[in-house]
Amino acid sequence: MKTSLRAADARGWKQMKPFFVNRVHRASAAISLLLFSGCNPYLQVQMDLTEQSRKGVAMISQSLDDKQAIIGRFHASQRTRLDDAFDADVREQETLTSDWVVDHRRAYVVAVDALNDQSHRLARSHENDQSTLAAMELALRQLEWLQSIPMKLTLKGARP
Amino acid sequence: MKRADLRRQVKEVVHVSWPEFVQRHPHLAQAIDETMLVEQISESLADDPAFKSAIARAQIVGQTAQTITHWAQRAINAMLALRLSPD
Repeated sequence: MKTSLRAADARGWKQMKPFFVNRVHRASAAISLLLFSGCNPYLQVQMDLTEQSRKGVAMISQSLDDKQAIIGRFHASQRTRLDDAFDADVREQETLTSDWVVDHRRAYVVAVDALNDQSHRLARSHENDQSTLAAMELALRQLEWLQSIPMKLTLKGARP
Repeated sequence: MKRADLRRQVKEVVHVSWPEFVQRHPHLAQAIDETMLVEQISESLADDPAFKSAIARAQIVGQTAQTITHWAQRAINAMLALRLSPD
């Protein structure tokens, strides 16, 4: 009895198998079509936006470097201006007393220190800005990598 | 005390002291950026524990503004080698 039932099952499966296989093929084709034609453009837009963001970060970084270079040149010229001013005051002083020279040197040192302080502050701020941008660049690179995983799967699924 | 208030008062004191400095060191005065000087004096005062405790005491008796002016004048005198009275 059991044997005849099994034989009947086997015969039934034999008849049903093409139907199931056909369904599975259709389903996988539909998923592939969905992935290829539906999600792929969406993923591509995401990746394009990420790439644009990375380009933007690189442009800001370059712009900050340019500004920092301008600031550096400005500080160098300010320093020269201070040196020239120090000399000019000494030359134009009719009676050079030791008190005046000491006071003059002290004021000059204060001005140079103030200039150096400002220069260091701006350099530190520039470094902070650049490290923030580097962190953003890293995060965007990781996002790009994450986005590339479903994209690869989609392309693989779309292959015949 | 807010940094902006300190900076504003230091700026006023520097402005008052500046003519004497210009008279004694005319070329140097032209080359020095007043804003930068204000910034430096404000920063050095804000980091000075003696100034902080003086301000804390002044706040109790309502003399904050006068105390800032006094300390700022002292700092400017020392930095620019001026002999203006701090009071």
